[in-house]
Amino acid sequence: METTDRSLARHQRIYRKLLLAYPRAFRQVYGADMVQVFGDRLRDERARTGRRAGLRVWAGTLLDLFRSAPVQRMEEKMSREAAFAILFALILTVAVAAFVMGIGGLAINIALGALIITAIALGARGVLRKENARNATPAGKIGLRDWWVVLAGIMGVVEIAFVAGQLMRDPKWENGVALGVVGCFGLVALAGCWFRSRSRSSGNWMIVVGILPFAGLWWLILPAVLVVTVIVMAVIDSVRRPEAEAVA
Amino acid sequence: MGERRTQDPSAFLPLPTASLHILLALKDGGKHGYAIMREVEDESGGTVRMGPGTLYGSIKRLLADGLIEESDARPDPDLDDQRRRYYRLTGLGERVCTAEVERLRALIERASRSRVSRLGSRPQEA
Repeated sequence: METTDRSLARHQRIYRKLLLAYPRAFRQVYGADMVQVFGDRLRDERARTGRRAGLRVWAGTLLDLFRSAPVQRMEEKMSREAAFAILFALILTVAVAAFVMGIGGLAINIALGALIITAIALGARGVLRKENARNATPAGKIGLRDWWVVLAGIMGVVEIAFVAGQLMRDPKWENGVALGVVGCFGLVALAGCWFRSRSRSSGNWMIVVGILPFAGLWWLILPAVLVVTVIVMAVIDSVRRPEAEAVA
Repeated sequence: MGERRTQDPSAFLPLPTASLHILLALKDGGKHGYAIMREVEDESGGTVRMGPGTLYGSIKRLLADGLIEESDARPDPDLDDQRRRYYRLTGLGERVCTAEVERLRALIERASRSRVSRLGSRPQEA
């Protein structure tokens, strides 16, 4: 009996190593369950058909691994690439809109701010990936404090308050369009703070998009620091807990 | 990102085969991963054998779509491992499962009335 248990544990150890074929986030959430299911199947098959069952179980499991691991890899890659593509498209739209409205300086500011922010976000993601690789903390278990969401909410309120103040001071139609756009960003930021409870990743991205008008003030130290802080925290939160929303 | 949050069952159709089998396996109540795998195999007469990767890949998508959810209900600790995660159907999951079964039933009815089916049952010529 003890020999059987040791043999089963050995098979499970090998299977656990093979799980490296799956994306890290998927492995962290479901890896332990998959190893357990594999062990259960092996134990049952052995009880039913003897020791040669191992070959049959391994054949089926490897076939499953070759089929499902690339699918998971592709899904993960697509969701990240899509998020970045959407962000770039939005930034570009804002920059072009500012340029068309004759605010050339703002357009350049937004474009430069977007470049800086994206570089920082990508850097933060790289650092975090390395950190995750060093300590295999299960996704969804890290108690990251969400203080930065409050900060993002305040930035959203500031945007809306700025729009309201400007409209009251100088209620012109030309100003109204540009200010309306800024106000919409503020609303998106606030909606993102609320939406995180439904879908963490989508809420985070809404926050990032919503605070983008602050990026136009990149040459002022405080707004730039706020924008960078919120974006870095949103990226860290999304990378660390990519599956939490699936469970929520 | 990318998860569907609609409450309209038809938006989820057609379901991938593995997902449909998992939903059907959960019709009778919450189950853990291996119990789902066994149920699918038994109900399909051994023709559908799901590996751990396919099983949990499908579970991940079903959770994201809100068709199933993790269940807090645990069986008697003497009977089962408390560390296992249990899953159960949500209301939306039940509606989607029913809609998919209805869709397949209608498809089979159409096929059985069609020429394709008659060709399959034509007696062989001498």
